[in-house]
Amino acid sequence: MIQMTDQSVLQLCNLHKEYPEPSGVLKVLRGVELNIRRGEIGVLMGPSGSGKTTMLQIAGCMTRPTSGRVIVAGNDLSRADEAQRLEARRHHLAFVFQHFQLVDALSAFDNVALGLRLRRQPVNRKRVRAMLETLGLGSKSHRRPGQLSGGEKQRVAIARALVGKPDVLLADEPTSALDSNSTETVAKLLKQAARRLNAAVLLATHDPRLTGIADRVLKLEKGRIDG
Amino acid sequence: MIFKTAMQIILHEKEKFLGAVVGVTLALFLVLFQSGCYLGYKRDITIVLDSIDADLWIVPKGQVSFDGWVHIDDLPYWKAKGDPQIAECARLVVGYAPWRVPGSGGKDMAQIIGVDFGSPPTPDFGIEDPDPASLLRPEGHVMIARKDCRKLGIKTLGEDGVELLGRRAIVVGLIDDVQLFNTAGFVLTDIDNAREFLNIPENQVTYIMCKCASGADPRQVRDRLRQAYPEHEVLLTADFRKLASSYWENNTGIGPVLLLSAGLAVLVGFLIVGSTFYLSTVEKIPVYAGLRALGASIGEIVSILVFQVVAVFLMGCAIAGISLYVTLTIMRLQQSTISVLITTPLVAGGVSVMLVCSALGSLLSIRKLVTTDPGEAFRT
Repeated sequence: MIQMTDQSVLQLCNLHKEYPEPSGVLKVLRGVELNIRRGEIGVLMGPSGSGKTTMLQIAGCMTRPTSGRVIVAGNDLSRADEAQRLEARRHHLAFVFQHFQLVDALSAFDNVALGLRLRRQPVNRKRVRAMLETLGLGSKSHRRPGQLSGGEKQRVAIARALVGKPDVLLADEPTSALDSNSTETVAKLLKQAARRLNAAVLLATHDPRLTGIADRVLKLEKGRIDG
Repeated sequence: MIFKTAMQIILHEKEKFLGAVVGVTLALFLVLFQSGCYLGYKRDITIVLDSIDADLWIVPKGQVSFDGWVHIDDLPYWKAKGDPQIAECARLVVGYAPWRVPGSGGKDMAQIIGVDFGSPPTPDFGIEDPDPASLLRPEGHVMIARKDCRKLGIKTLGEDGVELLGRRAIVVGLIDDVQLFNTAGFVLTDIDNAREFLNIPENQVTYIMCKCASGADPRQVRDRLRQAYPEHEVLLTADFRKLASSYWENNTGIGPVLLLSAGLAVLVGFLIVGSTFYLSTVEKIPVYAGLRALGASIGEIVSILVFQVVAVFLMGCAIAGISLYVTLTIMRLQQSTISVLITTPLVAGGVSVMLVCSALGSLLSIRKLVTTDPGEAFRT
């Protein structure tokens, strides 16, 4: 049974996810239990097809679980409608994707500013600039994604995610498209920025080097979190 | 921010969007130009008929177009003069004659319109001279369309004269804005001169036009005249206009051809706009999914696309408008004999059609965006 604490900001309780298949039912998640606190970094590891991305999608209010509860910042969103889930994403959640998903036509600055705009927050230029500085991109804020390296792009994506001060940051394979130097830099900066904002981080990865920034390593196997 | 994003995407991918702009430009230009040619052609077929304010036309039996070669005796004209239900009655002579072009010595075809200036209704060609009757009554005097000057070899007015079916004609004036659909030279003269040029006997005319008296029903007058002159045909102006117009349209097939071309242009524009936006949208689905994950509503994402479609559409319209203006100006300066009639309803219709096409072309993209799952940002 999960322990609720004051600091808990993301809780997954007895989470199940099943997909219908011609041959029967594919059970991806089989009773996942998870509790992440503010400022905590949880690194979720597991082989391909173990359900890491599905878990992030459910935690990120993009997909509904078959059963179980998803509680984000105290709100039970297990049966929330699309509008409620969109509100949760705007006000409590943020995402970093494997392939960045930046708008190529916008500068790094504008991509980060767009993050604020989408969260219905005023576009505070000073805050955007400060976030880019924190991630070591102060001098490259005018550049477009096409003019940045992979590591720099992911740092822009992290800045876009964190500039709105989310309660929870969900990252899916954030370093898999990066070289090893960039991986270390991105991991270090992600940890610093998340700590500064007191955001909970749930990071799904194959990369064992990222366990170095983890407060907790979570292993997802056969649809359950082990340990 | 949404509009800025949409605009930045257009500027960033200008080569791609330029294709869509060219698609809209090409389609709208062709729609307006082809339809303008069609309208110009239709106008020119009935340009003489439309210039006369008559209710009824007495025409040779079996008449199929305005450009007939058959003539009738003018007895109905004299009788109609005394008819209390007919306020005005006039005669018109129409025919074709070879025009020997001065200088080259070659021959070109001219359509001669002989007007009975002393008896209304007379054609209104917007002639500037206050008394065209006096100008055209002297033997051999004619006016020609300004557009035909080069074709008919006329450099100055009142010159020694030209040969028209073996007779001497003197061009004494020019008429603006007249163009015949069959590219024959337009020659206006007095009815007696026309008979001379065309070798038509004195009591023969091509048409007799009647303007009904106030309160008289043109249909009833037509029926009565039909009974009185069974050897002729009596037509309401609208019916004669329809007959004349449809004869040339159906026999040349020009109407369907021009409209089919315009339709193809619309289709091409639709496909270019649709495919450009669809490909551009599909390519960015993961990015849009990412934005949806970060809090963008479906409306905001669709707004980006709609703004792009509107921007491309407006740019395409502006370039098409400028291109059309330049083309028509060059045609006018070159005294082109191609008649293009661009009217406000045509422009409004053409722009509306392209707007609908752009909207339809973007529907698939909008559908794709509306059904985009934010979770797709994780998958690709």
